[in-house]
Amino acid sequence: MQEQIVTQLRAIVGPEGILTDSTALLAYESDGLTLKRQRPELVLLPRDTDETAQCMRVLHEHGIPLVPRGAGTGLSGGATPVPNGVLVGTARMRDVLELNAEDRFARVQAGVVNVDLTRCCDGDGLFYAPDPSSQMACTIGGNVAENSGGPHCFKYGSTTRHILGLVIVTATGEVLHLDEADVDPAGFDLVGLFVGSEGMFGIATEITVQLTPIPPVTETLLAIFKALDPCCDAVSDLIAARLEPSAIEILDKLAIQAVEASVFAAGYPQEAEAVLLLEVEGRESAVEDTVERMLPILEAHGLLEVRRARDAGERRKLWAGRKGAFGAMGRIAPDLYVADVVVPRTRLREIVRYATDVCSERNLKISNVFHAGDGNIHPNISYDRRDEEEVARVLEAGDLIMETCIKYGGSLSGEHGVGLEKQAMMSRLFTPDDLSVMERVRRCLDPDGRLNPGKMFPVRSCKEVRPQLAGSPGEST
Amino acid sequence: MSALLEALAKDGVEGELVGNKPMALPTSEAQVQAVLKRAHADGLRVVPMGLGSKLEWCRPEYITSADLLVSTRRMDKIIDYVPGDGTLTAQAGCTMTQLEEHVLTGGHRLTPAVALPGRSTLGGVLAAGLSGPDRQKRGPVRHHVLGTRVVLPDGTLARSGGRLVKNVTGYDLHRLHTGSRGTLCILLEASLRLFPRADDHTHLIREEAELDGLLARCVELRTLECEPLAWTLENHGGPWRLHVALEGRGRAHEEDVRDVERVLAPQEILRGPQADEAFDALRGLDASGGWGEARALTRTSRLSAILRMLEKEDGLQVVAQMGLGEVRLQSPGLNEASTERQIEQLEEWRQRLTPLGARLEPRMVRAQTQEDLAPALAAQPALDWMFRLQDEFDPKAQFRSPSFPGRRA
Repeated sequence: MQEQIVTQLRAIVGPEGILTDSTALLAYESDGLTLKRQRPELVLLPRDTDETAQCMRVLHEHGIPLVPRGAGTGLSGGATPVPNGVLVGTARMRDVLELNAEDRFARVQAGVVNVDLTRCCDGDGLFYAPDPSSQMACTIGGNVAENSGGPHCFKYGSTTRHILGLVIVTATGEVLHLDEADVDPAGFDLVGLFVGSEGMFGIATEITVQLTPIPPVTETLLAIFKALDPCCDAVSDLIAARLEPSAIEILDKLAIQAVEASVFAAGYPQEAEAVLLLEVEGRESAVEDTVERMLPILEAHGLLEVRRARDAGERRKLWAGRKGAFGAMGRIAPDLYVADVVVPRTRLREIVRYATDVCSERNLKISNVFHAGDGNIHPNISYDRRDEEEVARVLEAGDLIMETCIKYGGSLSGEHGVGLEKQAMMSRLFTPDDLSVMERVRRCLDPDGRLNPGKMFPVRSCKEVRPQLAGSPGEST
Repeated sequence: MSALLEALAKDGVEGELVGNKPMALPTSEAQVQAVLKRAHADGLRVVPMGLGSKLEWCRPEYITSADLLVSTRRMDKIIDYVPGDGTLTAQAGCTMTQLEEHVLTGGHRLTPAVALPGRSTLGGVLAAGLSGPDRQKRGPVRHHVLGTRVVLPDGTLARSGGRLVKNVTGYDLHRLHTGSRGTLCILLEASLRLFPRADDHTHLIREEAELDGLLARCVELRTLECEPLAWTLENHGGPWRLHVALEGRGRAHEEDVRDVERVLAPQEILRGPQADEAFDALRGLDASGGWGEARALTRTSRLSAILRMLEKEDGLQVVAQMGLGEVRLQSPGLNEASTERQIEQLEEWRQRLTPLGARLEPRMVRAQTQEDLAPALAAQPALDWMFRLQDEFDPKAQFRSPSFPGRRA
């Protein structure tokens, strides 16, 4: 990149807001999808909306593509840099700008870490409901870009249901205020359109989020099953019975063993084939009633035992195990492919069984940790990316799982987004017209296509299945 | 029969004249596409509609400027109801009553609980972005639309989202379509998230001549553990009435009722079918009472000040959703008033409400009123993006409204 441009950018963000050293850039080569790597030309870390807008104007002036990034915890390659591009991170935008307990909202900078927001408002009896497993690190801005979920989204819904307003910096450096915390949008619902747009419409620098009252009573149960299939069936029946816990999560045997061998050990029974982590919230009598109604359904599916968290400490431990499960998989193999697909909740057993079989046939290690209540499954395939042949098998299994989900009436992503990982599959789910309409929306809001280019939409692909640099010649024709 | 309807008939599309306006009545997606392709080729101004119950406030200009009305009312098939998944997919012309009755068979409840459900189609409700009093507990309708199929002005058929309760694949264009008032596309089909129908229902009402006493009770109601299905304060010229609708099951429900009873000291406690009737009446309050309606949108903490200001206006009818920050205002005197008088009144409300932190949105007002007020009321900050989207999808301005989402400078 021309030194003159670097100087201009440095003048805006200061020396601490720009990274050009190749060692420093190494950490930004990929997000959680480590299969795809690309070193950015430089990384910008503006401190606020104004600095972001100034940077965007410079990048616009010179026609430089850019990729927004939160904490880089995304698993679909949404924050993978692009060749000759700049990465704009929100790591220095960490302020909670306003907390309004009476109206139950907070206005935060995009780089505020998810869990810090809840810590900030729990003294007022409030919390921020979306709770991705990476919530200790992921940012609210990243959550907005990906429309992130989490275990408690079963009850509270994904990120989009909790965003009241945004301040957006556009590709040309304009600042767009969609930040009045009104009950309904004025005109089109641009906030709803923006959430989940994977950094392709602009960079959200300030976000107004809805806060939720902390429920008076929370009951956490660990239901232990002798097999995975009936555990899945139990979930389908809980949904069909119209019960309303706040979270329904499944971990299978390999996941349990990995967690128990790690620092996240939660006391999950290692002999179990599957466990169901359930949480019920509300007033005490409502919680008791829901639990009473759930138990016969679980028992009808071969429940071995139910353990109830006795206090907040035990509850935290059970959830730490669940949320640390992906990290714990590092014990199985150095790399992890986390699939993220959704099926109707009536078809859980079938898709989980299919994923297991596909991996067994390819001699791959699969573990399952997933948001069963939403039909959002995460078959996790452990592998070593230095083994190209194994990588090929992993990607083939991933494709087959996605194809089968589509066949079952499912979808490609429940919470991780499309990014680079799933873009080739988009044309299996959507028609050319569907995709063309999405691309037209994008063109309206970023006519030059400089914001996170090469993501989400399929390119005519050579179907290369080996580790490669994002945007490298093998990627597309 | 107009020449246009005759031409459409050759494509197999039936239609009729409404007043002097031709209205196409397609029965399939292919027919909607055929109608729009013809309209696009001829540059006709099109107003999409269902049964037309919200046209006066959604698209008041239809009376004067539309060349063609396109109603989806004959596309009324329920495509897929999956009780085990709690989802419903239906064509846009289904009435809300039809859908509500259908999902009740599987123990589900549909949201939004709109006024006049038998005269409202799914497509119309979604295009209007309409929520009901159950929004207090369920949230706005846009949160529960899982996916849509639409036809664009040039006849392109496109899908967004799906039929799943959780799905982030592709852009959420269904969020853009919901509430776009037929200015971007015609909705053909939508999938919705459903909610369990509760076993027990109770409706509590307290009436007082003075507003202040009820506002004090509202402050305390907000601190309770229970989550009301609806929480509405209304005044139609007499005393103020505060409604709290609760739903639940067994002991927990009874505890909710006791808590609300303690704070509200209601004169009426209705249960079971009587509570359902009272809730339906609450839904009905959202039906239009005639010309001269507006909504004030604000934060809940500002509601008291706004209501106190409105209390001083003689004869003003008010329906406020107390947990949401929404107040509907209607001045019966405006029903027969001239356009100039309507504009004057709405402008006066706007000037008084804005300093209190509320945004005014006209509803049942004549087209000219809506259009004249548009510059002052429009969503100015993001209007450019909205116009860009309209230009992209409707380059011939066939679907455009002069007042929504705003008027061009």
